[in-house]
Amino acid sequence: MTGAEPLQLLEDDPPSLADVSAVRALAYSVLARLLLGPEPQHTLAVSEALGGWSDAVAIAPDLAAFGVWRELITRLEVPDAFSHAVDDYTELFITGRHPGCDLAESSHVPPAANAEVLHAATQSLRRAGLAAHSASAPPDHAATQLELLAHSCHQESDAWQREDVAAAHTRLSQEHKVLRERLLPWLPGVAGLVARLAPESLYASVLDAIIRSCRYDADYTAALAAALEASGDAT
Amino acid sequence: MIDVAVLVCGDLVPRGLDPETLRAALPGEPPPIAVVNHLCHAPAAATRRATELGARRVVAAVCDHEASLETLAARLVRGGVEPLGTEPVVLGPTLASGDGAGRAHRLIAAAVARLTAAPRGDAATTRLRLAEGTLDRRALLTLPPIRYAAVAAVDENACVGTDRCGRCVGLCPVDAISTSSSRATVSRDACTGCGLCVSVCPTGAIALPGASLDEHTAGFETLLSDGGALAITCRHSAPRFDHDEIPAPWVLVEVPCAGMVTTGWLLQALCAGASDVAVIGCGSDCRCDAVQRVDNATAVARQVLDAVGADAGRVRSTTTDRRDAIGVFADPVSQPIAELAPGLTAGFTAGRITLREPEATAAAVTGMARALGATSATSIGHDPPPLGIVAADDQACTLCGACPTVCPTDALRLDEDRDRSALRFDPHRCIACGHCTDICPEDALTLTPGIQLAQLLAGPTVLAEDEIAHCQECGAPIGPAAMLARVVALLGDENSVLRAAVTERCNDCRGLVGPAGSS
Repeated sequence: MTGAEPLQLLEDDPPSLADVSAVRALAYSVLARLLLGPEPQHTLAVSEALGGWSDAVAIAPDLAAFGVWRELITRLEVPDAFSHAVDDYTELFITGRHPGCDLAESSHVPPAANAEVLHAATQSLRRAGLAAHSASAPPDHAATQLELLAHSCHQESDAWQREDVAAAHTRLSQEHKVLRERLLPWLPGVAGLVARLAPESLYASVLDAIIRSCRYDADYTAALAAALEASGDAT
Repeated sequence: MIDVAVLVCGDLVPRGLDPETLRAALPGEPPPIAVVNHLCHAPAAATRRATELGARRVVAAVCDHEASLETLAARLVRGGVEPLGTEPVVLGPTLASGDGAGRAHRLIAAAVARLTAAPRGDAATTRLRLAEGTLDRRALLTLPPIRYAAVAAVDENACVGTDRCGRCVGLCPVDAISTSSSRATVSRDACTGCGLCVSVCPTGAIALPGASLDEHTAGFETLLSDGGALAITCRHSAPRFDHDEIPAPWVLVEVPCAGMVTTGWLLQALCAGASDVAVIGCGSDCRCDAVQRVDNATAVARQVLDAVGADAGRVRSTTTDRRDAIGVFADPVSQPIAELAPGLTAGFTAGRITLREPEATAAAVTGMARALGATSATSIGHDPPPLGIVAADDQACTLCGACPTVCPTDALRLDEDRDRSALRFDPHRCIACGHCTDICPEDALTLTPGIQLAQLLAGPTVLAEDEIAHCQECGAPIGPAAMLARVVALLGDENSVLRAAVTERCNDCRGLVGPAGSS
């Protein structure tokens, strides 16, 4: 593909980092809703968010995560996108017939490590001033951690708007930690299993998009945090 | 969305790259082809065209290496192209020389084949980097320019583990591959995407966009479908020499590092129809410390050609730090081996070329030897050896099964049924690692490194075999008789009860006997 050479600034005005963070917040919020389940309050919220999300991802087309979200939006905009969602969600995540599909991290570690995982997940919420809001989404549920990311991205966006680079750096580091420690170690296994069990289902697409965008976003948060540190503005 | 589209710089059209002729020349169902005026310097226009076409991947036919290929790739991502989905093909110099249009068509066709064969864009093999250098405070508030780079990723299911193999770990020039787990893992931050690990992995477990074996195989097959001569160069070296001076029928393909090229790649290319092959490395500038590797690959390939009675001069090599680098193309090309040995290429047509070692070297050597009637006594030694031959002292081998468990390529296999056990060896899969001789408790195995033509031509063999002893209680199989005899010898006469328990009864019935003296 392409060899190494100096980058040239693209001629268009680049988007503000505040806007980029705001779009990421919206994305993680929608992704969390999708994993919470196909109940009407969630699907309605997703449907209502799609238009704004679709416009928002256009601001930073250079970011690969945004490209993944563009693909998912296209999938969700199909009129019957949610037509089998209830059956699929129930079969994959509720019946317990497929333990490997469980959306809680503690289900994917040895029993002896359950408490440790729950404690770590709860602590990460507490540090952000949050708490898990229902029994269906405990602290170590993927949806809860995606909501935590959405919350952190909101705060990062605020920090950029205040030009508080140190606060933005703190948020970026926290987001990277959640992605690398709370989601990416185990959720790709769930996504792979769902892709094998129900390759055509909405949730195969959703989880694939979550994994791909989380990986890209983990790179983005790490690279941006490192750039801030190199600039000397991070502290 | 469509998989691949071809964008052609409009400046190439008056130089001989006619889109309609190109469309007719591309094999199979041709991808959409669009001409973009001044593509090399108008990435925004290219992006608009890619968006209109709905292309995930783009072959960008550009004039020269002075075009800002990095910026072009970055802009095409905005048009929906995958982050590593742009393959630039520099055609200006090619069009300026003999048979320019024909070679340009083949290069574009090969690029289309490579992109089509490339695995889907995956975040695991893509790393985001921001512009380097210190950014001022104002710039920090906006999204910096973004670049995507390919990084290697290991398929845990295909990797046999660093204990059994670990060839990638030792070869990585930047120590990006770790042995911290039972499987190799790549540090995304350290990996430079050189691809050395990809071509050394005997199980094809390492993915790297732009350097996967599937991509290169597809490219080779397309380029060599009509013969010609193949020059392979390091991507970093390519801009450093004058492409105008590469004469027909040579075509130039780029790889991330010339050290990726193996003996098998060179020989397979010759079997598939190339008259000559050349490797152009970086020489002393090599950032991957792969100079010796290139020398080894070409030296062994020449030895093979000598051994089978073909002209060794058809394998050429040079480096870009030599003033006369391009001189490697000065000699006329050879008569293709396929013409000397009709029928050879039938075994190396599309879908039958393999670039995975050690099978690539073994299949090519065997194919050439058969086609040219080479003597079966030929032996080619080299350090490090691309292949090896394992032999067993069948009086000493007890068929214990230790060696197949450490063999990284399954060259050694223990086949057992109810009545017989056999240790089989496939010389086409041996990489001469020596793990088998190290682990053999009876010192029954010997390894001869190098290419042994007689054994390659003979194919898989049985190194040792024996009858299976059966339980005297229930008749179930216990193990090979030779292994039980060895156990008897080790236990001696004083442990007669234990000896009987081990050699005469299966695991299930053994408990009925109990410890020595208690039955």
